[in-house]
Amino acid sequence: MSDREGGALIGFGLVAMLVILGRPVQDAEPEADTLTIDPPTWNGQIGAIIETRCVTCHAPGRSGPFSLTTIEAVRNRATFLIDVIEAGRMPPWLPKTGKFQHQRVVPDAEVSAIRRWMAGGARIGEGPPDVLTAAVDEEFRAGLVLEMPAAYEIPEESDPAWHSGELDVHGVNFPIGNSEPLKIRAIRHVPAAPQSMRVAAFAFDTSGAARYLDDRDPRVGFLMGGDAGLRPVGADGVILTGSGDFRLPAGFHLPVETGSDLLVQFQYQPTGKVERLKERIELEFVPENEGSSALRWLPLAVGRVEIDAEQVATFTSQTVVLEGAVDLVGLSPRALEICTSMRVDAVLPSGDRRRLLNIPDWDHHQRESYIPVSPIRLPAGTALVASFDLDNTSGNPRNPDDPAAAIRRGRRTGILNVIIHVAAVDPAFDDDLVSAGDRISRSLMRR
Amino acid sequence: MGITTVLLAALLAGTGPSASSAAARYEASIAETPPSSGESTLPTFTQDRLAEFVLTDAKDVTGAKRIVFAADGPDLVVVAFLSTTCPIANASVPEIRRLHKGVKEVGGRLVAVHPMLGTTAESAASHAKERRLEMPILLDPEQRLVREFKGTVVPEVFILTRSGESWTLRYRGPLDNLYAEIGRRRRNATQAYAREVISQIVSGRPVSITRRPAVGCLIEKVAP
Repeated sequence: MSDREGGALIGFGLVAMLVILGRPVQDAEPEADTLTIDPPTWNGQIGAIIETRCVTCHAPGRSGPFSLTTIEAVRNRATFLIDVIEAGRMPPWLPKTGKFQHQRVVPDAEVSAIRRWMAGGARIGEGPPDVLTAAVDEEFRAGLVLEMPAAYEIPEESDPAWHSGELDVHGVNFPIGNSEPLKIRAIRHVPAAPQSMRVAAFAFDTSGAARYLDDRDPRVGFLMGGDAGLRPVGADGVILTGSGDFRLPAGFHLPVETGSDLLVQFQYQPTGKVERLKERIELEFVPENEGSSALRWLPLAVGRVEIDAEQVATFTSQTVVLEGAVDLVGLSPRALEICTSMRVDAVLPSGDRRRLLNIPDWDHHQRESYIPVSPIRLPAGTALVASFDLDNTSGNPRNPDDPAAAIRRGRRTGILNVIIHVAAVDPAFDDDLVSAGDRISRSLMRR
Repeated sequence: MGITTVLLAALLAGTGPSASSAAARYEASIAETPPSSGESTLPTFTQDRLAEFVLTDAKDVTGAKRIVFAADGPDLVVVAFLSTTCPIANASVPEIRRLHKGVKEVGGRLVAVHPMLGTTAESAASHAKERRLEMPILLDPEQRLVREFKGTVVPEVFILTRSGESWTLRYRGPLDNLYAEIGRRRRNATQAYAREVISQIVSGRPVSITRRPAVGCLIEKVAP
């Protein structure tokens, strides 16, 4: 392909401001028939709701700060439980449109059932109270297990001395040294201290950049203030602790070249006591006889962010125009802490507009890859753009600077960035996709 | 132990002249400085009323009880309501330790009190050990003290000073601004509200803001 004369199969340029209507929020279907029996009981309905919606994380040894496996534990904080669900804080789930894997919502009918259960005396029902169990892990056929050689200590609170860059992140390079290319279907992250670990962002690397950073830092892993090389962390997926595995739908894989390393950026949140970070990563391969398409990454990124103190502003990414059809398999957003909301929009060649991602209340500690339940076919000629709202006022409690300070940052792949994970529909288009990620990243760097 | 007069505590602790003079300034401020006009409507409690709060010491294997506001104790008492499991309370533990140190240095007393349902002496003691909380750890299973202070969430601190037979609530609210609301956390707190109040009290200045909304985990009420 050529990117010289505007004949690029993937081009980027300014596209007129997109005005796109949001879609209505689609909640999971409530199981209406079982929820109208009054008053509900623990053994009848409530235990099952808590088990499905909460206990995946709120069980011993999981990422939730307390266990909700017993009726006493739930009774002892039931009002709070309802408060945080209704405030949208729990369960953690950022997108407000679309249908994705691992979508975590509590339908209104279930919240109402919990409230009526409380009002009705929080009764057990028939027999002794059920003790809830965390769902067994999804099936995972680990073909390769990668472990940190030693632990890295997470401090009990964030270190203010590091505030000039991204805080509470640690890079770890896992050498794979594979003598053959690999096809990855799924990634599992097993955190050593799940309550303090938030996000793991992955990038398979053949440039040696992560190895170089690791060698220069005497600790286990390395202080990671940005990306290593042109391939952004998150280019091959992002896992939020407690949200399950990163798993691609059948028919797709992450291609890993011979002699790769796996670079992982771990983002943690101090819990008030020192924790040990000794993470394990497991990789599942595509079965040998199964055909599948390689996923490529494209950044919808802002190259440079300049925002004065006490300002709010919206930043729009470079527009990426696809000149061949792709299947969109995932979106991995990343943004500064002062980002309050973000969107990804597609303008189809027909002129139809589609909002692919809508996060009205961004929280950089809850990011993950969003995998649509069915891949989204985007025809040739589709234009993609991400936009980000930033609030750099002192009144924004997530602003690490107080009072607010001007931000002048920009490097490589962008600190406001939604990676889209796509596969070429026509195999002939794949080569163009391969080079596009690096090329767009390089152009961001020049800005 | 933990019940002694202000100056004596500072001297016994072997603290340097600055701490002693801080204690002396504090003594003076209590004795000579009436609450500022801005503080004139602060809630007050009688010594007799507060002396009724005798709570189980979670660290004492014999289950000894402690008087929180002893008649012969310090005139500055800080009550910090905590939880063993609330992530907001736990994230505040390093600041609670700093506040404890600051209160101790001026001869006051800080106690941690657990009002959350289901907290046992064992869970509170092991939580304190794990997180190096060296202040008295007391249990309020019937939520009598937290109800007296109208507390609704953890963590929240209540800072009281005594003048004669009357205790005044000089500040209630969060330890600092680490959390603006649930789910909105700064990387680090930039304002240590409670420690600032202590320093205002010690220096005899009026407490500029006597009440701030606490952010944390709701205290489920004990069944009536």
